Amino acid sequence: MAVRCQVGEAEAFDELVQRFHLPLWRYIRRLSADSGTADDLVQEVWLKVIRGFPDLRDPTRLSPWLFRIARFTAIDRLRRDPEASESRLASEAEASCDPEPLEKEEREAVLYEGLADLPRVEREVLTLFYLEELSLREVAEVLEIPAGTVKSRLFRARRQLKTRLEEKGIES
Amino acid sequence: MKSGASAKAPLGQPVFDLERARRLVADQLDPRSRVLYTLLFCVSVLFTVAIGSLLVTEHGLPLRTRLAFLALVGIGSAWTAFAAWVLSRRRPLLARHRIVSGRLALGGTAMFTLAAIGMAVANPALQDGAWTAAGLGSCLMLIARLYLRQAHRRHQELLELRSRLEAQLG
Repeated sequence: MAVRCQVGEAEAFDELVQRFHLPLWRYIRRLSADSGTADDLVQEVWLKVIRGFPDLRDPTRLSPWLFRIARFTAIDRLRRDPEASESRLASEAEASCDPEPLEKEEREAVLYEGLADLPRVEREVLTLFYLEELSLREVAEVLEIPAGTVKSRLFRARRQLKTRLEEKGIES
Repeated sequence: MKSGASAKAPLGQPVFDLERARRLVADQLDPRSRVLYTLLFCVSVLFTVAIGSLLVTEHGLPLRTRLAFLALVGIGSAWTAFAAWVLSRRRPLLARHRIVSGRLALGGTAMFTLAAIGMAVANPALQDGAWTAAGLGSCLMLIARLYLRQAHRRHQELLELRSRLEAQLG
């Protein structure tokens, strides 16, 4: 898909947006204050992606490249507007809760709530590895840190998430 | 995958606007704007070269005329820089776009060079300026030719890479 985009096929870009819009939005959502901010940021990400496509050196590394752009865009916004990082994930998850949620959705809600309580570094690494299912190497590329550091952050993040969930009376 | 900002979202995934992103991307990829900026780039370069040639070769021009020519060279250079900035930063050219741009540039520079040669032959009074413009036009034509060749090569490389990756994926 990345190669077709570099060739300049408009349909390939449409497929790219359809495939990666939600994962990028979810990732940015973990770093930003609300859905609206996340939506604006992900539009900004797509602009940067199109403008940067001729510079993509290795088309086989598309996912880490996209998430790295998303990360820079989100962090840049957080630097300029610190209030944008104030996480309201938990309240948003509660607000969108159906009266009789499905079991899977319930589990996700608990996970999102737990994630919302974690510091950004831990939240980021868990989101990329577990929710977006990037490999260790890809997470390392996105965060620009060694794979060993990703492993240690994941270990720490899992432990923190477990503690937070237990504090809320939820067995992991 | 849902679309539309107001659609009901599953838990933990409140709202996002896929259609907005698709429209944004489609708009950004519109080839017309790239063609227009390529044309602007070519026209402003050739305009600057033509006026610059006259400025350099016509020694008997009054001061006000020379200043006017200098201002025109400045304006042409500014438009050239602007078009180059748009084509490199705002509407970057992908492989197919580069081939189209290369063809436009080659065609434009060839026409300019032929016109300058024609003018040099037909009007002896403008001979110096016209030959200078023709010489510079030839250089630009050569650059356009090299650019087009590189664009074709890059396009071919990407097509080969695509075939290779598709074969790997079965």
